[in-house]
Amino acid sequence: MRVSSDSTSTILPQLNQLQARQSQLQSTISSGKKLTTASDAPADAALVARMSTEQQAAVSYRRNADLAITYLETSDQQLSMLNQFHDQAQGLLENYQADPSASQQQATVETLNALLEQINSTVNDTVNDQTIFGSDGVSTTPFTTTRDADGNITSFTYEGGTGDWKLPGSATAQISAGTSGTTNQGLADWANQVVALRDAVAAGDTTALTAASDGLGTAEDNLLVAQVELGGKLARAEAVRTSEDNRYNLRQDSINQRTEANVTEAIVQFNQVNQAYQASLQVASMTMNLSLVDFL
Amino acid sequence: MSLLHGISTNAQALNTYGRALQVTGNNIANVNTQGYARQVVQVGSSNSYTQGRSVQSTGLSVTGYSDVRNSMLDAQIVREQSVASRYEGEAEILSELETLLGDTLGNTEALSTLEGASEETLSGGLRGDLQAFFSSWDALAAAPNNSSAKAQVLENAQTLVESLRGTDERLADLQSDLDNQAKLEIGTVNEQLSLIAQYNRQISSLGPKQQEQANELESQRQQALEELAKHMDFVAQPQENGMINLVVTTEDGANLNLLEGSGTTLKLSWQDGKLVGGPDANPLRVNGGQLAAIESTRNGLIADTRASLDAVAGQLVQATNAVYNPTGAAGEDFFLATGQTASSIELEAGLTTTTLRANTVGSASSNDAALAMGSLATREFSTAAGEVVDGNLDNYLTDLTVTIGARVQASQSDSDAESAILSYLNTQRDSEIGVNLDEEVARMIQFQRSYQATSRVMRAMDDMLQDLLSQI
Repeated sequence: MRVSSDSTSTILPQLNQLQARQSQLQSTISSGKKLTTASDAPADAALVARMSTEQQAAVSYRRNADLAITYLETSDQQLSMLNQFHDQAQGLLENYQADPSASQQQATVETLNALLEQINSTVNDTVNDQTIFGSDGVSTTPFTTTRDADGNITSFTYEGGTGDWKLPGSATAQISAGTSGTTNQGLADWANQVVALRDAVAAGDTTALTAASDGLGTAEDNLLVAQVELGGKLARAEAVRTSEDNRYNLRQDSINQRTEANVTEAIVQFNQVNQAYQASLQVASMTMNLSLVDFL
Repeated sequence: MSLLHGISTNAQALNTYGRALQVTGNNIANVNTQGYARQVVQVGSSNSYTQGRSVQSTGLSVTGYSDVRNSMLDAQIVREQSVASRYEGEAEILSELETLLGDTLGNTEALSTLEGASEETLSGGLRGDLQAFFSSWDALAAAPNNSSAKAQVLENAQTLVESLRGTDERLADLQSDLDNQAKLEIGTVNEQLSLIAQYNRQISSLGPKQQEQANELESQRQQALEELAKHMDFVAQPQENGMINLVVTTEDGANLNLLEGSGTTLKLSWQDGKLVGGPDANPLRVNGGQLAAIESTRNGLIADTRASLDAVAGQLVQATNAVYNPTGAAGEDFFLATGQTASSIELEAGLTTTTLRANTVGSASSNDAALAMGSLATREFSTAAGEVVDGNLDNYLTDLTVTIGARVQASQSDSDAESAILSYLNTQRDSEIGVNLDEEVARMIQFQRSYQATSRVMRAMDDMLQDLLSQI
């Protein structure tokens, strides 16, 4: 076969090809990635894109689970406080029943008034500007109060949401982040029993005292119901958090399989191509240098 | 044969060998000239006569210059050059399109837990902005009275709007740049056509005794044709007078003369993204060269991408407003209802952290709107139901990115394959017409020795004549 002395059509294209391959491998080794844009591997890119979207969702649901846990744990703490207030109220009642003197009556009424203010503050508490016992209602003060001329609380009214405070926990399911409207109504009922107790002590009415004491005892169930409800919801929120962690990590593994380069293999290939390039340069040099002119 | 006749014959031979050396030198000088076809001098007896029983030659002369060009290979290379340039151009333009979309495919950093992740690191480009927008509504649903969450929603919404507008603007700029490039290409095409016309004129004016010049001009014309093929495709029609006509086809299938002989060239221009020719501005069917790459990408995938972005914007506006303001109350939309394209999308005027709602107007729920907005991220739309897109918005954008990526990969693959074919053809041609230094040096030595020997013979004859004359 006749060969032209013009190297641009024979030697140079081969050298260019080897250079291009070297450059490609160098980029893979230095970045550690074999897939950075869709054109590198369209089919894998489609999968990676969808996996990253699912990861995005996992981050979002995981954040909601964390928030739900925060709300629920705070609700639990506040319910514990309400339980303490209940025990205080019971204690005050027992002390007054043991010593129904005028001074004891006054002290009990004043202490119960202060307790009612603490209850009002606790049930209207917020976390992250979100009311803890407001369910899905719009009001920023789910428990409103009426007061007498002296400014003492005379009743509690629940004006929060009637449904369940929910956050997205997955594409198809939601997680509850607080007590339900029904439970919250129960808290209002319990608070009103404390009001009734204060009124009965202030009136010095033994019959009313007995009725208030019974009512308070019954209303204590509302607190227990709320705590049980919170416990169940907390377990669900923690399960969602764990699930989304796993989902994220599984997808990360899948993404890594498709995007991470086998650097060892790439280095070996680079060495091979580099050696071939050096050999080509040497051979090209020998071919181009040698000519009949040198022997004349 | 007399001595004088012998000297004359040898003088003719010296001229011939000198001419042959000149041609050999020209070949060596053009060893690196792309597309140069070496010339081979044909020498032979200029004439002969009968003397008695023998036939005597009257001397040596150049009988011709052989043309080693392979016209079939030349035509093939012109065709493949046109195809290769088209694929190369498409690969470059589509690669730029992929870069402009800016989708970085998502999180490629290994994270052992979610603790180090944030929405901002997960997906890049338009998809990332869309995901961040919906995600911020989820966050608002969890804290509907929190002003920071509201501020985040507005910030992400504005980023999304700017991302859509910015991407569309960049694509529009790309189309405009391609239009300008096409006009430059047409300028280059016109220059090449003038050059080819000039070569046609020169070649047709040369006589049979000017074969050497004709061969050189044909080499240069072939180079001009290959250069022209890089910009657009055409059909070359060789004529008997040595000229070449160039023909193109309109989209209606009619043939038009791009170049006729040494004169008429078709007036080309670029209108509305298409190459048109002639006084009636007929759209031309361009299948090769840079102009074909520009036309196919500008009017094809780039235009389709812009239409897809418009669809995303339109669907986003419609779906968001339907959820945020289901009753359609005036001034309560989230996005401006009249801005349903990527270039016109914008937030409703007056949206602030104070006026932004997490619930629908008059709703007893504190976060129903925010919950519904967050769920739009996975909502499946359907054109059969009168909506703008099919599938969810994230998958729609992913499909767009992957489609472009697949086209880029295919174009690069086609370009590499076509380059290999072109390289092979060029190697084939060079092996036939290219200059081989060893061959030319060998010929040079051959003619040089023949020249030396002939001049020795002349000298001997001259000495003999002088001896004869000295006797008189």
